[in-house]
Amino acid sequence: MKYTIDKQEKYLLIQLHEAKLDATVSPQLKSEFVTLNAEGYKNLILDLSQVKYIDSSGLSSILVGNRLANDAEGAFVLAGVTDHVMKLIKISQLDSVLDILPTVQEAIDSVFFSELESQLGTEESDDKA
Amino acid sequence: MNTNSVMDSIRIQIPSIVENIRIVESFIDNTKDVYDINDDIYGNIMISVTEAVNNAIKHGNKENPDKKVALALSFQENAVSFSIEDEGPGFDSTKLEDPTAPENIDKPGGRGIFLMRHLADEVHFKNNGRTVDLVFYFP
Repeated sequence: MKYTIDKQEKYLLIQLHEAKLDATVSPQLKSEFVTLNAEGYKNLILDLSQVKYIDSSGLSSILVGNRLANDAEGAFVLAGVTDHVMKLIKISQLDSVLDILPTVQEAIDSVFFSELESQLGTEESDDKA
Repeated sequence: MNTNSVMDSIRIQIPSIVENIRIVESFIDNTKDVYDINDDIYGNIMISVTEAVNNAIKHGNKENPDKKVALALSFQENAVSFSIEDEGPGFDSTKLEDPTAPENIDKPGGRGIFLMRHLADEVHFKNNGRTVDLVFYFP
């Protein structure tokens, strides 16, 4: 799996350098999520702008990352989702489960905003059930 | 000029190893170039066929490299068909859970056949589930 990781104080940005997130790549991405979660990184941004196609194993790895972040009360945001990938997310109705923003910058802003909200203690309780 | 209704057909066999999905992908890439398939249909074909081959490798042949997955392609004037066949025990394609149901929506698995049914124009399971035919229409 080709990818780069940018570790910042408040968030961690994973940029995938793969055209296909399929069964040959997804298990590695999944174990990367597990490792990062164990290391205490709770706010993850996944930049999918270079991924043109995703299959069910790719969606599966993303759902694992999302669940780990949610369990740690962190954020998991997808950015730069391309056309065919978005088509599969919508067919699977995962747009109701996942946080998806157009750009990495917007994803970073949303992570900062939710951190700020929880620090101020004004966060309205999300339905995490 | 070729006036037959079936213009072309090709068949390959691969050992049941997950990494061999790359062979299938380059096989589909070649057909895209040769037959000038548009990006959206190409994506539908790429994902559906790789889902079917993945299922054949993992669930059908249980990743036993001695067992083969056969992939056949045939071109008609208005459509392209793929047939994927494994050497496993088969399964009941009518007994699958809906991955969009609230109790399943955030489960990691169970989306492969659901995606195939949405991306291909026709999906036919045959031979007790050991063979799946996928048909894609050209616009």
